[in-house]
Amino acid sequence: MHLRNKAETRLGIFLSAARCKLSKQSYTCGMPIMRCPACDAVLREPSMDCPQCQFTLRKLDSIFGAVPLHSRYLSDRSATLTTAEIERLRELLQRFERKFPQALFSVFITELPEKTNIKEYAFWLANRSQFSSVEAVGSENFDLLLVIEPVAGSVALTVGYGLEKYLSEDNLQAALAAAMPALRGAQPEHGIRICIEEMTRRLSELCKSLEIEKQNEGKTMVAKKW
Amino acid sequence: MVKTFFNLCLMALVSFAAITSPSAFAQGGKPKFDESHYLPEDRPTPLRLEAPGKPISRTWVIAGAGVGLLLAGAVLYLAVKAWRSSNVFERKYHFPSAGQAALRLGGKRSGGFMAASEPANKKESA
Repeated sequence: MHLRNKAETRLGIFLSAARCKLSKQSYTCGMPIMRCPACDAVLREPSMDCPQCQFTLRKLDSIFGAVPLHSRYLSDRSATLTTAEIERLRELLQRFERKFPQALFSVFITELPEKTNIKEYAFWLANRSQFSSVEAVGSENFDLLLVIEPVAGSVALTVGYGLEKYLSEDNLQAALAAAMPALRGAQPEHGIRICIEEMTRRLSELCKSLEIEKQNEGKTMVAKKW
Repeated sequence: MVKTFFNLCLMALVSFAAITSPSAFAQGGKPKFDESHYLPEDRPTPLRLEAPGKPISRTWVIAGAGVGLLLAGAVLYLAVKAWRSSNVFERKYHFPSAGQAALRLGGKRSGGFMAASEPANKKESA
C-alpha cells in the first residue's frame, strides 16, 4: 500500500513535471488562468467578485477576523517545527531573497478550523498580511506564500500579481507535488525545503530564459539597425 | 734474614711483572681515531644508479598528452558547470516589470493565483 502510494506520488511528480515542460514556452505568455479561490470557477475577466459565487476578499475578513501575528520569513503558529529547523529554513528563505531581491518567500504554518478552505485562507493572508513592504502591490508584488495546515495536511502556494505573468499553475503544482511526500510523511522541514528549492530552481531558469530572450531581442535590434 | 730475603724476592717479582705487562701506550693494532671519516671521499657519488631503460616512443607521449588534455578539459567543463549552477557569488535575478496588473476579487497583492493540495477526505467533506 505504502509502495503504491509512493509510486503514485512519483508518477504525479513526473506527470506534473512533464506538463510543466510542455508549458515552459508559456513563461511570457499574456494572461494566466484566473480562478476563484472559493469555488474554483475560471474568471474570464478580472472582476471585483466571483460571478459564480460572489466571493470577495472583504467577505473573508468577517470569517478570519484579525490578521494573525506573523514574521517576514517563517511563522510557525502550530509549533510544528523545532527552533533549529526554523533557523535553517529562515536561512534558506533569506538566501532566496538575496537571489531574487524583488521577491519574498514566506511560509506560514497554522492550524485552521475544520471546514476552512486553505485556498481562501492563503488568498486572504497574502493580501491582508504585511510580509513584504507596503509598496509591493499590484504588478510590483513578486512574493510567494506557502501556507501549511499540519493537522489536515492541506497546503497552498500562492504568488503575487507580479509573478502571475511568468509562472503557470502547473509550475506551482509541481513544486507542491515534489514537497507533499515529505510534508505528509511527518518531515515538514524537508518538505518546505524541497518546495523552496524547487521554486528557486524554476525561477532561476525563468530569469535565465528571460535574459536570453532579452539578449536575442537586443541582437535583432542591432541587426535591424545595420 | 729470611724475611728480608722474602721481601726482596717479592719486590723483584712485582718489578718484573710491571715491566713485562703491556702498557696503554705500547698497544699495537689500529688506532681508534680514523681520520678518513673526516676527509673528502675520493670517488664522487655516481650520477645514475640504474641502467637506462628503453625510451618511450613519441606516439605514446603524444597520446598520453592528448588524453591528459582531454581529461583536464572535461574536469574544467564540469567544474565550470557546477560553479555556474551553484551561484557561488550569490547571483541576483530580476524580474522585468509585468506592466499593469488586473486586480481582482478585491486583492491588491495577490489575485488568488495558486496551487493547493488537500487530502481527499477533506475535499469530499467540503
